[in-house]
Amino acid sequence: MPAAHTAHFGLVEYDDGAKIDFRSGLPAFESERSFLALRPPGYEPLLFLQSLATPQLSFLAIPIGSIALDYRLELNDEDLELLGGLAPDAEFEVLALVAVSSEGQVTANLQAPIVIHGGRRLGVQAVQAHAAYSCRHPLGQPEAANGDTAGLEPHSPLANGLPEDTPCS
Amino acid sequence: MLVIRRKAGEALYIGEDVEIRVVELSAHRVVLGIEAPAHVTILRKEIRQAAEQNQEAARTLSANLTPTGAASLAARLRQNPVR
Repeated sequence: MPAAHTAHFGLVEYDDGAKIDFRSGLPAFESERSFLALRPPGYEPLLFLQSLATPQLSFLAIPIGSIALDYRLELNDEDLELLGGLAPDAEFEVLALVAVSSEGQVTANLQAPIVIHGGRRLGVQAVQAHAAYSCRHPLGQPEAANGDTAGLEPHSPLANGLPEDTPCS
Repeated sequence: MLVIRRKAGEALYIGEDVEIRVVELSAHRVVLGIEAPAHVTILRKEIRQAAEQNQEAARTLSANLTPTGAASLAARLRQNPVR
């Protein structure tokens, strides 16, 4: 069984079927073509997209369905091709990459979802051309200050995927 | 923002050597032709934003969030789903 050096979990053995090929890489990481989706216990609903080429490169991700109700994914022809073509919706896993800024703000990128077809072991970052979804969808703070503002932001109407005017750059 | 009206077939320059031509117009889409020197990067805006966001996401686990912090974030998301 092959094994990969990972950023946070040491040497991890994996089944070849767990390797996901991103044939065109990700924007800013075009040469990263292979990732493992690591789902260690205790981290649900979060998962780790671990690069196979670069052990120190690991993305935190979350299923979009768990943070945005009624998310409407649009796949262009190019992205669909990179996923091996049409398939029933249920076969595609749709994830958002999670970012924590140096100020501690936790956000998920709903504008550039990671779409994976597990059966085909193919993935793509399907950047949405329209601006309906924020690339900094708030998920709250990772470390609450002694309970006063503990927990996540209250339910936001924007969680349903309405346009948000926060600029992304 | 500078706004310029152009018809299909018309063009404009940005600087000395970047030419942008309106190739085709339809109700929901415009097709643009761009001529620029090889050193000029042309990126769709959303791809550039995705690249910037990906860089921040990649820094997240290396600089701004420990795996322990990720576990506590996960616990909070389980207790109090955002949706």
